[in-house]
Amino acid sequence: MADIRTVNEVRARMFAGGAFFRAKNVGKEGNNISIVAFEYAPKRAKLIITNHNTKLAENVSGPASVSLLDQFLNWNEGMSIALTDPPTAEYYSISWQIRNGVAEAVKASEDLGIFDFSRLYTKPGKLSVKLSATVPQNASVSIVPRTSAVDLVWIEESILPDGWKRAGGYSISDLRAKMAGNTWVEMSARGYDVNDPGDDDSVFSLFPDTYLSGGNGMPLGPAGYNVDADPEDPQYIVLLNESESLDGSPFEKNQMFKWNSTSKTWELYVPEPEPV
Amino acid sequence: MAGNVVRIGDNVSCGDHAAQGSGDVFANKLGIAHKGKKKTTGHGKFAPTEFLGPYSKTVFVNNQPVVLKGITEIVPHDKKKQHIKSKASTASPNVSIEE
Repeated sequence: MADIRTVNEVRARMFAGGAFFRAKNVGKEGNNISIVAFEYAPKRAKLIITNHNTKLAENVSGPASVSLLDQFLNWNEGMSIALTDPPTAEYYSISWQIRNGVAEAVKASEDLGIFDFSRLYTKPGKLSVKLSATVPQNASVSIVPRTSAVDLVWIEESILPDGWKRAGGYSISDLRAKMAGNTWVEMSARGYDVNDPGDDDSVFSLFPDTYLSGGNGMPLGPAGYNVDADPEDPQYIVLLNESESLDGSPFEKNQMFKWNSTSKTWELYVPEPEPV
Repeated sequence: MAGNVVRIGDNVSCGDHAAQGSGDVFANKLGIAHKGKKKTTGHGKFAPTEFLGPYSKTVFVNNQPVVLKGITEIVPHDKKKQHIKSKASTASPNVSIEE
């Protein structure tokens, strides 16, 4: 039992490639979003956003019922289960290679053998899953990361009005326009967010898979938030003090939430006296 | 004076909240705030503070006088005396003290 603890809602953010990215929504979930920008052929590149927060409808496809899924898949990994008799599974990763001047995707597979639906399957560091499905049938179940991809546009080297030369590279303004509809990450205009005082670089630089960071918000569960209360009926209360406006400036929210152990959610708590 | 006893999580009129309560004496399942457990949570830009008084003259929890709704004030949040005279504004609906 302890004092009431306070949390604030903050978006996760990242400066990378000469640009600025931030999570669309406040909360700790933003820290589970990563971005990679890589070149797969000369002047051909992609930016891929991976939302590592599990969402069954997007992580799993195929005729199966999922009772547990915990996954840490990178953007280029996945698992496939063939619903044959007996069912077999493979884990795969995809990388790019250039052969004879042509870029091609290369799939590296790891045969996982017979898949046992009666047990929890774990691939250390990658995923744990418990499924049920009808076998045999002419279908397969796929477990994939949640990704969103954008093609980068190359800008040729040019001479600027002041006589300086701008090196060739990928366009940030084009990337920003393409990101406008993304539901996980946004590229707000430079200087709009109070935490972003800078400007875009002249061209976008590529970077390895990098996580957004700094996101904060309501706790995912009640652990650690029990307050001074009847030990036979623990009460979990948290004060949400401040949140973020669209421009990143904080504003007072000052709402108390109490954990509902039935619905397993935080519910608004207003300690007004109830009628006797 | 008369007032209902304040519990952990109860409000202060300025928007603050009681951050502490007794670990073994409860009203409506929540710990009762008293002079020994008097911190507040703070709110917005206003830093946490604590209840100043007056407390109950006759009812003690853990040997400390309890905080009462509508009676016990908080220490102002800062040297500018922000929210001076703010008092506990919610409390147990059915545990009250007549003094």
